[in-house]
Amino acid sequence: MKHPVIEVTGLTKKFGTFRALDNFTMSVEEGTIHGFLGPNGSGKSTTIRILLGVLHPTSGTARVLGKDPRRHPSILRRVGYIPGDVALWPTLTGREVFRALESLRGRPTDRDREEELIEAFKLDPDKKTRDYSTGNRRKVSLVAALSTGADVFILDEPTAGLDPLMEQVFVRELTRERDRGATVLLSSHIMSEVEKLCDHVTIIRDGRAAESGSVEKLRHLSAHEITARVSRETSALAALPGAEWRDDTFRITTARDEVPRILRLVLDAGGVDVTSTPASLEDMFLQHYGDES
Amino acid sequence: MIRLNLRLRRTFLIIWSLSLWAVFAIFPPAYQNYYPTPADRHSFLLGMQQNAGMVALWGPLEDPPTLGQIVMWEAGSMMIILGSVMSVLLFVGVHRRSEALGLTELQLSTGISRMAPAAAAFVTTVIAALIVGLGSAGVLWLSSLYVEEMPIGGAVSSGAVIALTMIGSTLLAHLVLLFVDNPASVTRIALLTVAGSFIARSVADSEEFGWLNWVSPLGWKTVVHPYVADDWRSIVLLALLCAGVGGLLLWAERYREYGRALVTLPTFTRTRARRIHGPVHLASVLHRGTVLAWAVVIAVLAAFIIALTGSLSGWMETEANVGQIFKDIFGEGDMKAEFIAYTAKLCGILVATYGIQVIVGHRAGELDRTVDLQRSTGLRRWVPLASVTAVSVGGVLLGTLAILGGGAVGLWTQESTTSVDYDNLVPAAWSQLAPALLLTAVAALLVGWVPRLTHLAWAPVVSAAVLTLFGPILSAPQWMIDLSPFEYPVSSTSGEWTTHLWMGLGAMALMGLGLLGSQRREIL
Repeated sequence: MKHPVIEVTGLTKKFGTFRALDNFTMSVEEGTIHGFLGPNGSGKSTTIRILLGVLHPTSGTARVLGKDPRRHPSILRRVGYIPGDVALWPTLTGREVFRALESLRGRPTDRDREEELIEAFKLDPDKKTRDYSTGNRRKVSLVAALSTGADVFILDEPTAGLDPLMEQVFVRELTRERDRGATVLLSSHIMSEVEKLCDHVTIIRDGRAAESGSVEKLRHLSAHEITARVSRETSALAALPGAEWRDDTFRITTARDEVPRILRLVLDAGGVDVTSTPASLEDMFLQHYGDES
Repeated sequence: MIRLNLRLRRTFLIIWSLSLWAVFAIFPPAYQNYYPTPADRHSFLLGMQQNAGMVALWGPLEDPPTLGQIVMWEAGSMMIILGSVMSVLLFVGVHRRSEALGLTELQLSTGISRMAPAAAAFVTTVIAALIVGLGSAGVLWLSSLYVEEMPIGGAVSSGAVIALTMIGSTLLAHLVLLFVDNPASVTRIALLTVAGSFIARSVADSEEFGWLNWVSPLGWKTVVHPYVADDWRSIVLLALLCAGVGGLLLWAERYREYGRALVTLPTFTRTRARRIHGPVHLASVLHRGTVLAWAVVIAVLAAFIIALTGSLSGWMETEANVGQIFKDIFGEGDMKAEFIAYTAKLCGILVATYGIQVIVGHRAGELDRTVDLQRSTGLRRWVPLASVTAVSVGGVLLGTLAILGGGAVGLWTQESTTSVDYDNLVPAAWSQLAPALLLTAVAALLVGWVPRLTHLAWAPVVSAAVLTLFGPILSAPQWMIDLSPFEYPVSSTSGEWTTHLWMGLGAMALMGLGLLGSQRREIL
């Protein structure tokens, strides 16, 4: 087994009486991209801010590269971070932000890589950050983080505000960082991005880990999508939670152990062209949280 | 939108209005107690008329010296300055700051007119000014029930001039902000317009350029003469002027692009990016605009007021009771030296104010998460606050040097200046360093340990300013006045540095404790 680079164990964080995190556990293995999924307010940003040592856990531990960032903040010099809400100093230019973060980190940035990223993201780095659009501010934080040559990246919604072309550039550049050996914790709501990039996923709900494992494993273990053409709608099929009908096509996303029973019901109803496939991550996510909406 | 603005700023309006009225209400009985007889008030008038420094600070005093006029002369001057600060902060908050935060964009997306946010911000400020003006008139009218020489006509004209000054200061700030592009500078530049207005008013009153008082909103009190002439013709003219300028500015708003200046002034463009050398350099780059602007204002103020000491030589030889009045205000000792020390204290309060402002800015960085960004690079937790504190200490030092430099220029311009005056200026200026550092350190302590109470960082400097400037008039006990750290000026012949040494050590200890707090606490 690979060595865990980010390790969160039994993490609980209370704000007054509200439990933002409740005995949350997550492990990110070296050299992987780990998706961190959850609805708004589920505790993703709280976890990330604890990993940065900005918030203190009520109980439990959070370690980055084997060290508690609260007690050993210098470990963060080996971390590239992209915040969820990009806040930059408005009076500095993009390039001055790169230099400022480089000087604070105390480690030289790879200037060639920086120029390469500026080119790839089509960023004008010599404008004041207050004059940038939301997407361009995001690009500044992406270039600043990805050019550090960091061992670990902690990315909170890194593509929010980027256009689809730039999202592709991001996917390409992050894959390159992973291939270099970097470890990535990627908090995102974009399922296609997570499916494309991530080796492992942790899903957080109400401050607790709801699911965790490799994307493939989770797909197979957690949810399957069944479709079939069914000429008549039987009461047994209609009673299934989450069943959808469009013309004569029946569709349902269900837990793996329910698949045989539902397939029997479909066949009993005269179903043809039956398919059963592992659900997409999006289906899986909706299966977990769809009832909340 | 006006209702929304009032709802959003409800706490701000209540706290500012109540504080201003409460402070204003203290003065009428205090002045009656301090100058109980017409003879006392006449002596006071004679002394003040001959002291160009006091005229520059608070404006002219006219015959007859009624209690109402004396209240409006000093406390009224404070009211219009603080009221202007309040109205400018309110206007900038609901107008340009709201634009910078993207809130106005949300409002415009509902299909309202492009001018509507500016118009609503202006009307909101006018309503606030009218509330403060009406309340101030009420306070003065209530005072007339138990204090002599405060007729209701004077109370009403005073209320009107306070409201008009607040509106005028807002319009001046609005006008200047049409040429300001940088959203990070709008509040600072708007407040600097109040400082500029004060300097213009001082020049107008002390150099007898009456027309300049029409240009400076803070000079409108001199134009109206509350409790002396209650010049309603001028009040109506000023109200029309406000309405006209307000209309013009709103018209200009139609042509201003969202979040930009109407006319972008040419700026110096750097061809190379600045190299940032560590956290302290970053903090200095971020805060140097504030520090330099304040240092320049303080230097100009010190130069201007101390230049007026030239007029002191004449009146120092006048009647004994006039001299006594000045002893009451400035204390025992050489009048010229005491006036230099008084000016240094006044500037020292401003130095402490911006020292605190820089520290308070760190909390804003925590809230907008730029401090998270710094911390994500592996800095020790106390380093961001330490960097800002270092810049603040440097700023306080620069401010002290500005008092010294400005004061020296002021003395140099006067023929009557002797080497003794320079000998008095140097310790008087340096004796502001430790008090300003101490109050800045209190702010660092609060931000370090209890960031939610950051706004309380202003309380010590406000209390110290009230005690130092108005303690004797308000008949505060000496032990209470002595609580103000500005009460320990040093001159060539009086005062000692031991207290300053303790204050300096106390400041270092408090800053150290503040940094310890920032090392231990979370950023919420």
